[in-house]
Amino acid sequence: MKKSISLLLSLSMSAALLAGCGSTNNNATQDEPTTTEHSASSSIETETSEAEAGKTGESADPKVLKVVATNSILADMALNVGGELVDVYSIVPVGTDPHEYEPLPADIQACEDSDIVLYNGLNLETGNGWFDKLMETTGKVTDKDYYAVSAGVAPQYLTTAGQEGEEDPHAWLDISNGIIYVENMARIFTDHDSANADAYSDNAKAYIEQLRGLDQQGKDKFSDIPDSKKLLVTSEGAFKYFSAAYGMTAAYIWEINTENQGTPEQMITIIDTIREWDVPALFVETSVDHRSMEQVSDETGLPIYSTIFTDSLAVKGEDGDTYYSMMQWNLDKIHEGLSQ
Amino acid sequence: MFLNFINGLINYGFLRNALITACIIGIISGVIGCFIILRGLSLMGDAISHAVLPGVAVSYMLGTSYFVGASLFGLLAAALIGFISDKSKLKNDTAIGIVFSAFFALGIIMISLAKSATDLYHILFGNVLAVRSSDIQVTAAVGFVVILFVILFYKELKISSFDPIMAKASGLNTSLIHYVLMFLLTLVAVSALQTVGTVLVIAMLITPAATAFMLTNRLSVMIFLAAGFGVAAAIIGLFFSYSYNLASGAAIVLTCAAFFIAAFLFSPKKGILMTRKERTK
Repeated sequence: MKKSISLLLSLSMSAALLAGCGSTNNNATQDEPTTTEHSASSSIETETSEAEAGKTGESADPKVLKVVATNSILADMALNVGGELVDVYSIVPVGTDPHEYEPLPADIQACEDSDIVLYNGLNLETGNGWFDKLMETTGKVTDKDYYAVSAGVAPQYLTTAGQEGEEDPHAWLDISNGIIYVENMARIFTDHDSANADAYSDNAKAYIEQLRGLDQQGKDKFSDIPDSKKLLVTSEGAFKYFSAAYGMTAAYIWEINTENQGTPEQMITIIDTIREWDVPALFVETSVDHRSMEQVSDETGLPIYSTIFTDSLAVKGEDGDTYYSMMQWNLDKIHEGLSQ
Repeated sequence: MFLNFINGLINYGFLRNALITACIIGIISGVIGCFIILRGLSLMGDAISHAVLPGVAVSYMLGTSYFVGASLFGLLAAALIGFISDKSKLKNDTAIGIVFSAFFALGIIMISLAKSATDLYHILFGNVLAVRSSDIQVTAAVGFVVILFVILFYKELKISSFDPIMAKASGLNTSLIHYVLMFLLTLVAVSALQTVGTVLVIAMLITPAATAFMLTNRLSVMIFLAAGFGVAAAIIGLFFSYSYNLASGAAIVLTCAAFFIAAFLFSPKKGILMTRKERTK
């Protein structure tokens, strides 16, 4: 079964190379403990959330909102907004591609029991329809039980021929969009739990303030790098929003397709683009196989400076295990790499 | 267009690497593929290329080379398949189905336990355009071993492939030959898997050898033809891939298939159109 899926996938990929919104080969499925983030047990790392944890501690309401988020990034945001008032469960495990995922029994159970399901939208979870099926299975209703937290974000579109009308999902890589996500979450939580409206709004405000600071830092940061160096080279074209926000041009091997069936033209386009620019370093995403980028690195003689985060946070306890620290890592590493 | 391809080869190292690797894979899988199809083990390559998954997970956990872990599990699968079909009345294809699906399932669970930040399935599914020079060296070494083995044990391989009973009667250790062949097949499958991907492995193992089989009855000629078809498919496939921006692995596989169709239809001895003509004469 797995085998035929992978074969079919590889075949369809190779045949058309535009089989929709990215897909890995069969996805790794991880066991439950890593995917669950209970507000009580999870260590809250950013300074913001520590402050909030204290603040929300006062209303020790035994009735917590059960929130399911589709990936670790959304789960972290939800935890920052909800604090101890919410119990957050993250579906797609750290390190796994959210485009294509096979829900485990625990995921379905968590959705069944949940009050709110948060998903990114913009085609992220709809790649192979796993999310739609999951919502249908568990009898959830859109904008009543499950919400796209990207609502209100100005979408960027794919540029690959044949996919121009499709939205690029990676909006959260621009922190100002992340702030919209957070505002949406605060609104959604309030709708479901109006008694704690103030807490949610306070938490969101404090968190947004932090994010805004980081966003501004990012916007100021790159002014010391000459324009000819500001080319952000990654494997997948996930950094459109990021590049637009922080004044860079995004270049990539493949646009939106984690399946490693590249074509010669993709390789040549990226190599030629890099040669035209004065860019000092390349980057590779934590969640993709590094071989394609290593080949580009060999070809252009440029080093791969660092890994950066896209679809998933780091494993708990490492740099980049919250949305805030992941974005800080991305901004810092890209700045260091490009200012060489 | 052709000049364009040559130009690309001169300007881009990745294209040279892809061509070299695809050619080496074409040769060794053509050679080993001849014995595989003659012995009715066509599905073995496919089985092994999926059975290596737990090896990838174990290598990741231990931090060793994927090649070693994958090869070990490929061998283990080959041995188990041989053992089950020897010790039971089940046919080989049934044993293959049982073992490789079990290994693949084990791999899925082990990968989830390995908790890698990178999706380990990516390791398994290579792309000929992303071949590293270390991969080329490994592939070349595997190619050397395979060809050396076939040259040294050509007679034994030939007898045991065509007439296993006779071979056994004449005192050959046929099961040893079988396992050595499986060992080489595993090496070929794993190196091809890492560099060119699953679809290509099975196609390169079977299709050029089958094409050669349509054209000759002599094993030595068949081996050279199969290797030649493998190389030709690599070059032509990559050429089309480059010229029309197609996925490289798939273009190579389709070229192999086109060769086979031509041989299937027009082979002087075994082609269906040719034999029909003879019959009507």
